[in-house]
Amino acid sequence: MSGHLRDEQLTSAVLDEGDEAREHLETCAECRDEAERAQAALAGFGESVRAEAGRPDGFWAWQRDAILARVAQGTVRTRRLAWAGAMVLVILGAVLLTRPRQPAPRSPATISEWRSPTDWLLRTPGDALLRSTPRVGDFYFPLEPAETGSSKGGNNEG
Amino acid sequence: MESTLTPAKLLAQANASAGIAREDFDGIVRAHQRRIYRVLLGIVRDPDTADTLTQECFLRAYRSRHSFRGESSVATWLVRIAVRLAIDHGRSRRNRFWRQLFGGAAADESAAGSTAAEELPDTGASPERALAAREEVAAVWAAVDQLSPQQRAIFVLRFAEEMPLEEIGRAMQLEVGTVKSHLHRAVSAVRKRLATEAQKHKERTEERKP
Repeated sequence: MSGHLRDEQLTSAVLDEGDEAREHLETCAECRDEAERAQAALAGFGESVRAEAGRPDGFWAWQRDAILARVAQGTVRTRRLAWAGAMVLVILGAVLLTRPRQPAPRSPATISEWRSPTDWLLRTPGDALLRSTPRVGDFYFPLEPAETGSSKGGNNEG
Repeated sequence: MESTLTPAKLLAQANASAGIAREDFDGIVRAHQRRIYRVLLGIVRDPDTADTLTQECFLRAYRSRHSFRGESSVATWLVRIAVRLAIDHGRSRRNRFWRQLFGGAAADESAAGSTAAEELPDTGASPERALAAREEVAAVWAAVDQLSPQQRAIFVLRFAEEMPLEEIGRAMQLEVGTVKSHLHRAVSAVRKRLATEAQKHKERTEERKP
């Protein structure tokens, strides 16, 4: 290989990949230095993360207790919620079951006869009613007993 | 008579009364909390947030423990939950935008990077070399902060946790090729930052020369 490694080849070398890059590093001190410097920095990064994450034993015990307390709390809360939900369902069911209801029709015959209290508004007048002719003295024009003159005349006296 | 109820006892009681399998969740927390905290700290870079998210991670793991099929190890499964939490946290952190807008990001980055770099163990190197190493690590932190949350997570899992690419893929639910691609971009960004810092260091050294 002539010259130096390209950018992506050098990255491969840092990641310890690619035979071509590895072969080149054996002969080129400049690329090798750069790859080694990057590898050292990456190793230093790993060490710094591990060092920064180092905590005293007391911290881990405290954290463990906090986790287990939250887990236990969550379990108890879930169970309480389940109980509350079940109770609400039971109460709702009881209310629905004990509510007074209008008796429902049972057979097809009673279904056809059955009308709700407001159903009469939707009914068409019966044929008999449509064909009937109003007559004096009938239901439509009821005759009142004639009023006597004496009762009227009594009012005009004076 | 007073009975002292520790969280572990409370959990055991809750498990027993709920009729679920008595797994040793305390043992799981004990075995993995350090690693989960470390991963989260590497991604979110704030100890308090890392602690909160660690607790949240185990809480979620406990809630969804029935969905764990054993296809991956418990560690990988926990890392997956932790990374998802950290990425979600990064997305919801709206004030980051405002900090960057008002130019506070650069100062914060260098400060956080320097703090992290100061945590480096003493290797017995010369003061000059130790200082250079700290500067380089700070530069890496600064570059990592500019990565996308997903790339940052992959970077931390690779270089802080030294996880193999296949395991990172399982934890992130990504193909190995995608993990490699993200890692290449991340390392490339870090190298550029290192080159810039090296250039600045060189200029400073030349200025000091009489």
